[in-house]
Amino acid sequence: MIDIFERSKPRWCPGCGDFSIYEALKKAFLELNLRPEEIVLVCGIGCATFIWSYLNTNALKGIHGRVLPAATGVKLVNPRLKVIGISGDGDAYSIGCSHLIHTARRNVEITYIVVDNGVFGNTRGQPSPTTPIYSHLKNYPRAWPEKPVNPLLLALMSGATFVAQGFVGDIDRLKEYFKEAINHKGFSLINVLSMCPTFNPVRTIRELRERIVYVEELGAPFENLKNAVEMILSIQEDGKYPVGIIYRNREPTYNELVGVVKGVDLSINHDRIAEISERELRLRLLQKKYT
Amino acid sequence: MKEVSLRIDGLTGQGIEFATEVIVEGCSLRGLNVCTFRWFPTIVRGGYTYSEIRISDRKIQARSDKIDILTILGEVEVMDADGLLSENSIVVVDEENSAPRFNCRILKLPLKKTSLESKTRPNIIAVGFISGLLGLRLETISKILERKISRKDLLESNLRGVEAGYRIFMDTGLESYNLPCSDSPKNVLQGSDLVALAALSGGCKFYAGYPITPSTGIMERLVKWLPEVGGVAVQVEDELSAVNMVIGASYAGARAMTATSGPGLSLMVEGIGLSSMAEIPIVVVDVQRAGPSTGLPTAHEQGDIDLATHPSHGDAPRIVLAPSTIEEYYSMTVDAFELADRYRCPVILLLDHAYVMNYFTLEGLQVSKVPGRRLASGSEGATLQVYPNYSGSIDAFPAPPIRGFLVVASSVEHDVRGLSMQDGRTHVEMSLKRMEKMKELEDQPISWEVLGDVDAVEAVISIGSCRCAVEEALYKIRKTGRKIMHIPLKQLWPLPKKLEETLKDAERIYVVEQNASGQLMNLVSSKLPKRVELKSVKKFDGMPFRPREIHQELMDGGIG
Repeated sequence: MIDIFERSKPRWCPGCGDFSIYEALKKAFLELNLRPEEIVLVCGIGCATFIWSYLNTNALKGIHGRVLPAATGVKLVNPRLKVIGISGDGDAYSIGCSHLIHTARRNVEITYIVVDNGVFGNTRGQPSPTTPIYSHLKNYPRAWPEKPVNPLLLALMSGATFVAQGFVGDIDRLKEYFKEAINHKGFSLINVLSMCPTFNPVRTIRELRERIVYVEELGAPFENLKNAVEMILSIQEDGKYPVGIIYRNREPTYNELVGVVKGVDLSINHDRIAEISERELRLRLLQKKYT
Repeated sequence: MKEVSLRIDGLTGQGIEFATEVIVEGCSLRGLNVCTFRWFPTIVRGGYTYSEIRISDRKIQARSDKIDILTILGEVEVMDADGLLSENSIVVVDEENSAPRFNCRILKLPLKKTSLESKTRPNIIAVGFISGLLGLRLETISKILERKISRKDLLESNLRGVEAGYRIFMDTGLESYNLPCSDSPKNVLQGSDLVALAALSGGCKFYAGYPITPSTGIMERLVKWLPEVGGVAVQVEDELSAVNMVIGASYAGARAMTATSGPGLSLMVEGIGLSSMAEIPIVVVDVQRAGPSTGLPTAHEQGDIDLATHPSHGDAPRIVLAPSTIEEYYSMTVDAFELADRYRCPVILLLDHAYVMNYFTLEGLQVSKVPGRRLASGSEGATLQVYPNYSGSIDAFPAPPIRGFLVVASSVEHDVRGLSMQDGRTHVEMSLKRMEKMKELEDQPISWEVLGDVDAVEAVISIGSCRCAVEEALYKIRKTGRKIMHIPLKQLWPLPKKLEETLKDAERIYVVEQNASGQLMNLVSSKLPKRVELKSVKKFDGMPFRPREIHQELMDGGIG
């Protein structure tokens, strides 16, 4: 049964966190009774985005950093499609960072999965926007001089209505976050803590496992922004990672806000167009011969 | 031909745009043809600006070679008037300002004083005066003001002002121009009206764009109009977002468009490449402005020919169209949507600032009634492919969801199913497949015209709005017996084979364009006979050609 979502056998480096994403996403689709035809994976550039080759769904494999604009176009035109964006941390928080802010504040109903392994793996080991300051990486011959971005707070401050953090070492929970996010009416960000055993020696699965804190034990998910922010800050101050659904709220989606709840109407009504031209331009189109 | 040209000079913020609109609408209501040109700076208040209004009984889409009435509002130094004024011209200046030293009739009038009395502004007094001089009825102008101004006290003061201006004209004892007015109104609109309307007619259902002069008017219209036809228009965070959103929308089944200007087109380049590679149809409108980088945002130039014809890395098929008349701003925008779907590639519409932002009389618009996009269904079954070879017609478009079929579109090299293939053989096959479909348009261009003497050995090739100025210049030249053909080149990419065939016996060719480096000449020169004498006729001072400028170049034999 599980094979309906398998296009080809996934190929990543041994020990890569992307395998967990693949498994969790496949299971989430199955448990939600989704059909491959109703899912569109919109992928950027980076190792994690190869998932479009392995998962058997519709796919729009776009360009680096532009996952969310393309996904927004799909969702506005046809909201019956389940639109899942897949990026790495470079795609989402470096080259595509501004789109995250604007898509979040629009509250477009997109499930945005960002695989955060703290390294540019596909280009073989440069620091990424989530690499900690002073890190030493294989292909950056100095200590990294920049502070990392804080994806969870960035998404919350941008107006995201569903913010979660997952961990590749816990596929069952990850699957649940994906299911909740796919069912969420609005924009959802799931930052998935992952690792790159090939190019990121700084972050290991063991280290991640030691540092995660499950937020459901702390009363999450919150509907109150302040509570969510305070919880994230207090966990991060202890050098830990909050894991779980942190914030969830129902606000009008972008399709609702711009009046395309059922998507755009693809048929052309030439009489309606003639009415507009007459009203706006005093241009009578109906008098003329149609070609 | 009966014709009057007027110009209003002043500063931004003095209401010159409003005065232009009122006069333009007044002339149109009285059955006259108009075309306008506005010179304006980027600063919203206090920069030198002027508005040209050319009025005629004939169809006109180029600037005038003269100024009959020059109205100067405020203390400004009049520019770009050399050789346009004659002793018959009338120059109107406020009595409180210094009068310019032109060798023509100068009227010092109490524009400001009268405006204070009627609690309005000098532009309104000028409108009243000019209307009298043009022989437009006061009630025509009043009717227009009533339509334009909803606030009652404001309307009343404006009506008083126009009447006072009209009275000043009566007091001068001047005779009105005897223009052939009628009671059958003409349509007058801006190029952006036609592009937005054509987008609806062409089946566009999705627009995304970022504000940028001079393309913003198209977005303003579509934000209002698209929801009325069941579509949606989105103002996004930047042009990268705009082009990718349009690609996503098209992938999901909607005909989709974005509009921008040169700096935005530079940003959209990566998305245009994606559209070529993933074979997702999009329409990109580029309203050209002057210069590289920020350049002259409010000025006219045709400097994006290079960028539009070669906008991506790699071999990325695209179609580039440059409409040459205001009517073609409608017809070729509709064509753009049809071509994008037919060949599944980006279509770039290269438009001119002067046509998009100014007013033109429109006659005889042929309305297109295209059926729009037909989506593929599961019943096509086994024959359905995401990347089939071009069939010679507009195939049903595969948009998800399709029962039993997955739509996989990709920026990565792929096979006909859309699946990633990184081997050289697939790349060769698919590159050829993508480029092959452009051949049909080389043989049968979507729009092709040869004007004038088709067997002449002298020829002019022009682009965009240069066409109408060239035709006016050639009208005079042809009357002297000199034979010249004129090709307004409207399909820039792929270049029509007809260009080569038509010009194979040409001995001298003038290439008329508005940029510094001769981009059109560079584009076409490889298709022209080797021994031909090639003359470049260029203008790049931010303003459209006047017919006499082209006339002079054609008489001098060009500047080589």
